[in-house]
Amino acid sequence: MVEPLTIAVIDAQTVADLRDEGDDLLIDLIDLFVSETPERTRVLAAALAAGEREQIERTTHSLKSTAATFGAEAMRALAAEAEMAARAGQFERVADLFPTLQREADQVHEALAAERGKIVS
Amino acid sequence: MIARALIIDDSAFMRRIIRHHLTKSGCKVIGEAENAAQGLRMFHELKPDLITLDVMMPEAEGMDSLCALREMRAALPDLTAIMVSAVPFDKIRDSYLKEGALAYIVKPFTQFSFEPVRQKLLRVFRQNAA
Repeated sequence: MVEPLTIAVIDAQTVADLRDEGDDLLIDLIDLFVSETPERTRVLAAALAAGEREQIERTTHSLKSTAATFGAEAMRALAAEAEMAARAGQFERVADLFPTLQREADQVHEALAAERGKIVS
Repeated sequence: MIARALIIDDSAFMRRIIRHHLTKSGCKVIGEAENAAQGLRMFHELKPDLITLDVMMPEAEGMDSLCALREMRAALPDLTAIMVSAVPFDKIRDSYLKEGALAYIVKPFTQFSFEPVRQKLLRVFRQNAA
């Protein structure tokens, strides 16, 4: 049986590269993720409910960049698709993607919290 | 000479990473802006020697990165500008280099991909200090 291809939640090499720059940098970036991302997803949900195109574009763009920082490829790809859909005015598509994007962001959050635990301990 | 730098990027993550690399390269970060319009205002106020400018920021107040770069270079032709981008296309890179940018760096970047930029910065600011 062929094993299904899976994508790591965050890219170990990207995180290792950041850590090579010093623990302080990685800790700051993880803390930024923890403080900013739940707010971003809340803003995106509200913008989708209100049909605010600019805010939807800005938030999906921001989530895409955030994910790229940690090599969180699944989250990045979902946010990128949502951003493209938003630019095309396809808000229903963004709304369809939103629950998966939020779940993925939660998984990245957990993975980063575990990384932070390794640094502190 | 210590180059005084202004970072213009809509991502707080990228601003933190760029600050790290610039500081490590001997620059002093004197300000951070999260869009081109705010960056342009801070540029006029702080008069930095060096800016880093994200190419793909969402437009704010009708101002995009290219407009901001042109206005800054018109005010200060010797301004050192490093473009930061998620797009690794030669055509876009070349267009910004033609606009007078010193370097075009593709994110996410590491100490290895930042190294050529660091070398260019050293050359420019050593030359200016001489």
